[in-house]
Amino acid sequence: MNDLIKHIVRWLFLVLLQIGIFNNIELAGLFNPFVYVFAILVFPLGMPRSLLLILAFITGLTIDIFSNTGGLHAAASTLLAFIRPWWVGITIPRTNYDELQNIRIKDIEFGQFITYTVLLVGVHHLTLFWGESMSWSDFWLITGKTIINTLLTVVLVVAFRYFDFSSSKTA
Amino acid sequence: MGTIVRFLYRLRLFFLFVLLETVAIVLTIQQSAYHQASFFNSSNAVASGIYKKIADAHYYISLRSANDSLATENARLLSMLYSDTLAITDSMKFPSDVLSYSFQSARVINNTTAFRNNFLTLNRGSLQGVRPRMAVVSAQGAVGIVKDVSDNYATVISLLNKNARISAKHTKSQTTGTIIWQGGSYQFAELIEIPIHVKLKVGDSITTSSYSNIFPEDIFIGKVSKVEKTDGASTYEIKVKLGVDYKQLTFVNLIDHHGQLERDSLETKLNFNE
Repeated sequence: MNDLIKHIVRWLFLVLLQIGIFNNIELAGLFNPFVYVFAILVFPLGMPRSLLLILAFITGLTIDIFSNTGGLHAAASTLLAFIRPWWVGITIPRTNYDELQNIRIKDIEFGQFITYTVLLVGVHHLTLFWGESMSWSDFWLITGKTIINTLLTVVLVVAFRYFDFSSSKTA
Repeated sequence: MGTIVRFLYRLRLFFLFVLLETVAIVLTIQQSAYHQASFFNSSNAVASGIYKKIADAHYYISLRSANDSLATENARLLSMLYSDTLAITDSMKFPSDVLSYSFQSARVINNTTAFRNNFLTLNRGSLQGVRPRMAVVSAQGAVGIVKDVSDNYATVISLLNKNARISAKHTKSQTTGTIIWQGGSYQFAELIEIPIHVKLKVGDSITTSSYSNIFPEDIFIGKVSKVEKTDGASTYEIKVKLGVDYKQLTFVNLIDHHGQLERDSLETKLNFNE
């Protein structure tokens, strides 16, 4: 129960942070990290896949409503949620994988967490920026934005993970 | 048997995935349709209510710079009012045509600049007489075009949007072209369709043209910042530094063009007769 409340609070916090602050920090029209993906990344590993898909869709749609982007974030987030279980199987070693029902995202090693994050965030951002532009003429702009913002989001996600850690230790 | 069940289970997930993605894509396409007053955008009650709270906080913090720009605007208007020479040239420049536009001020409560397609949300809606296809300008120049309207809010396609193509002219030569935005920096747009025989200089002003049925003529858009001529091309590639600083927008004016409907319907007839 305690965990559930924590997930809800974290979700609300990240969505508000995204629409209130990060959607407005747009240096040179290039830097636009999407920190809300952290909420989807840290949903429990044992969560049923269908629930994961629906929650990711709702998360993306919430961001869409506030950014006038139709269903772009919903599409990108749903894709992220769809490949997440497959990518967990690859990045997190078999020994831990057996206890996957109980394991929490914070029990995963740092290196594994980075690999886990980079691909999922990259796929999410690529879908988002490409879907927004919908044309090949902006190819380099899209590639550039994807790489820069993936790095930026990953850095922020790692920072958030440490924040999660320290708050759980003191609690 | 177990394999089949697992296979179907996977397939069921895949169907859910396809369904959700389809909904998302339909919403995305609907959003970009020009006149779609859909529920899922920031002119709906909940989203605009929360945005208003955020904007109120931002508004309070930026009171000082808002005051500065209002004071500058006041000063400019006062100087126009009291200067005899300007009054004379003014009356020569604007014929009775100026009466066919009415102005209304509005506050910007949400604004994006980082995306490929950017929008603003204003705190005026249909109850205050706002309707789609009204022009939006600020003291610094043209800002955008009203897209959707709810009772008390309106969303605006800013110039920083793929769907915004605004008829513009090079003021010195009175040659008309089109202003488009190809992404990247929010400070620069491109002016296309200006033929290479026109004499252009960096620093020349670009304003709206009379061809536009949304903007009044001679609204400032920006200044030429770079001119390029490609071999064999018949038109320039011109970079324009926009007059409006989209990051600083707080107050804008909505312009109602009274003759818009009449002109629209007359020009539509032209297409039918062809």
